[in-house]
Amino acid sequence: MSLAAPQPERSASSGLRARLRAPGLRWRAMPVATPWAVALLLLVISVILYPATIHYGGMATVTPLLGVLVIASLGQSLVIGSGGIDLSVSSVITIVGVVFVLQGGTRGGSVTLAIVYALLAGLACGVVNGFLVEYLRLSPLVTTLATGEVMAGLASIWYGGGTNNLVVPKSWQQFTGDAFGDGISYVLVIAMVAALLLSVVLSYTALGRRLTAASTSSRAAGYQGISARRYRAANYVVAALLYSLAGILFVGDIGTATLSLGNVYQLSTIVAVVLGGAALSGSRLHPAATVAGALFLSLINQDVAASGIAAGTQGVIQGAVLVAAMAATGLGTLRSIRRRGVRRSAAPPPAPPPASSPLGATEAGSPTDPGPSAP
Amino acid sequence: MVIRGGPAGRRARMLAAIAAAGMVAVTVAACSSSSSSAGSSTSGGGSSSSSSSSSSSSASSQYAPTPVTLSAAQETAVIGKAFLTTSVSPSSLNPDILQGLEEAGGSYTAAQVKTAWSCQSQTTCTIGSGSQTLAILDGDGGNLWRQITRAAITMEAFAYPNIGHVIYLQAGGNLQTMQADLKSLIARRVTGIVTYDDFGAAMTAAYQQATAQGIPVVAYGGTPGSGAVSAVVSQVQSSFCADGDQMAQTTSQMLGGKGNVAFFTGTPGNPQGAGWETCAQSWFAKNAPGIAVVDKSNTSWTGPGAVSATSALIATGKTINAILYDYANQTVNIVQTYQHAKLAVPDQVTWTSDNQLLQLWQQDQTSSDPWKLAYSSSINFEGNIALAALMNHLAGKTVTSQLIFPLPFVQAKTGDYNASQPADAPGPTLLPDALLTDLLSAS
Repeated sequence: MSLAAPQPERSASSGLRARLRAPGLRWRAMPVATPWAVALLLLVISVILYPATIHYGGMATVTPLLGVLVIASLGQSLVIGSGGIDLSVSSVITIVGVVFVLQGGTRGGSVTLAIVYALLAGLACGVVNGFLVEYLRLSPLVTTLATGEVMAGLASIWYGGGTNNLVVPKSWQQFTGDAFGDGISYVLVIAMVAALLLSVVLSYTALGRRLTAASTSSRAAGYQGISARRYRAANYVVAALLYSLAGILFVGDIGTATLSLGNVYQLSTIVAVVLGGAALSGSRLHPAATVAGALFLSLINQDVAASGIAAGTQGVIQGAVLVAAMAATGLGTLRSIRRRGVRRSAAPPPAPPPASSPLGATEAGSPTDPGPSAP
Repeated sequence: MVIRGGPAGRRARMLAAIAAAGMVAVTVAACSSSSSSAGSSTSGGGSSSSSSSSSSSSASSQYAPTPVTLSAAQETAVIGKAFLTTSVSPSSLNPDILQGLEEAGGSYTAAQVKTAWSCQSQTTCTIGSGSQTLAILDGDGGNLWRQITRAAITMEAFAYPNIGHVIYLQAGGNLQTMQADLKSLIARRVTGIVTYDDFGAAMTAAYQQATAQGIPVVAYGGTPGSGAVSAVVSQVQSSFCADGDQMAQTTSQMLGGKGNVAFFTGTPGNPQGAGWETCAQSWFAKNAPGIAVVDKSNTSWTGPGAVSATSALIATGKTINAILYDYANQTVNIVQTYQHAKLAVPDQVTWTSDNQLLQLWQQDQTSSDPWKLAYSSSINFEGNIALAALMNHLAGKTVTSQLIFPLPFVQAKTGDYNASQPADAPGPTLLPDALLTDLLSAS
């Protein structure tokens, strides 16, 4: 990165300090650091209020749900990052759960085949969404709502109008319900791996940089020779695959599929992404920030439910805390932008933009072959 | 004029008098018929008293069922199967409730069972040559319980020879859809409607409209509440408060009069949950002060909701000795969440029955931490009582505005789990075995 150009006379530690202070890095870290600071603050409060939160029982029951929310929210973040919104998430999770038990929950059924079929069901929805929104330029809100309705309808037909209540195979239930250490669910581990992979792909691969460029500004990406439409459509496909993964894990945790299986994720994924500092109008993707948003949402849901106070009061507290968290993450990002703006105007020669700015693909020189970015 | 003089005139006057008398008779009969029809059309909606009846006595025969004659032993068996206990005596039940149970537990031919099964996949179904049309309006419809209840009502409709058609509409949990469904039933001039009202008082005005059009409505399970006395003929349900007392009493027996309990119910503020929770808490305070209610949670009556609520309860670190809930199907989720947390499962007291729950209970009886389970009947007979009440009202009989049936709780015992039935089989029902087998094998 040009702002952190090597200065041989400095020691290694002072070099690191300088790099940490570098405006570019701060700019990159702030959108992730603020949501994490807010989420960790809530975690501390949760542990003080309910110490059993971090005991085996609390962890083993909360972390699977958190893992599912993280995975589904990562999918939603891809779509929101491109300025879209995906309201088919709940239906995809539901139909994936239904397909999973229809194959895996019947006599002689196979878990492997159930996973394959379930992923294919989600994939189909993602392809349709991507095509309709990006190639036919239909409104993402209405389109994904409509495709969600279709998926929900199909789930109802395949599941006998809801009369079916097939049970997930014991082996899959055990895997999704199992935990290690102090109660860390394998579902959460899968979610963390998914978040890490997404971060690496988005930040350190040409594919990810093109995806980011196409998401944040399709026109600018077009000027650089990137087929923005294809990449933006791919967002819906990858998102649907992530919802499918979430659905497969979720149905294992619940033990059976119902026609309302995914309902809880319709809005919670959007809330988690926005709590992670994302703008609904589209912005650079920060999977780590989305994880923080999901953690915050899980904790506040649990804390409010554990409080035992009246349902109405719970709603008031939950809403107020969410607004406060939004304000905290939003202000943190705004301050960061302001600081960056001031520095830029103060500096006599305009510094080249950091390698990881939203239009990452251009910064490495070639629009079509951005290459790996500097750390 | 010819009729004024002579024998011919006298004959003519006699004929005229006979004709006039005949016309008067016809007119009176027509008026009588008209008034009885009007009476029938308004009887359900005009009364704000605690009972209603159709005023037409001539109509009684066309709404009468084929008489069901059960021996005392058969009657006891039917009631025992309905309530899972023989502690409920026939004489303690309202006649409409008893009639509904007896009709539900009656004998039906193989052909009738086959027709009833085929009706499950049709919205409009012909079950006979009668001119009457029964409508089943379901506010949701999307689970096995609703489908079994629907089948039970359709089966019972065979007991009424003049019911030729059964219409079934399900609103999928959407209020607007349910209101539109009801309007379509009014437009189709159905004879009467039995309904599971998922929307409570919000449907009252729509029921009022049906009643004003001469189409009586009886609600079962989900009901519009006390404000809808004039809108519906009757509301069939258990007494939520009495249920709460029963649950508390059963819990106290299980815990030996001391311990911590948690209450779970579906959506916040639902009248069912509010009803039993208030009374159960009062019962504990009065009769078992050693039992403390330390948590109240909402699950939205969904599996994920039950898991989240249980997870939050576990996170509080409180010792819970028993959980009281109003849906056995999701008590399964509560138990499994405790098992995932590697914690001792608290005793469970729940409305309705579920085969998977019984399986979980049976499996854990040999473990180091066995837990107790008490449950009630799955009450699929609610719709049968509603149909009996509807037809009795149409036949001009008096039907009380609330038909309250008892809901005893029984403790699970070895053998209650039926390995040959699917996970969510609801325990004993009054359906013919063949029809229940069809329903369960389809699931």
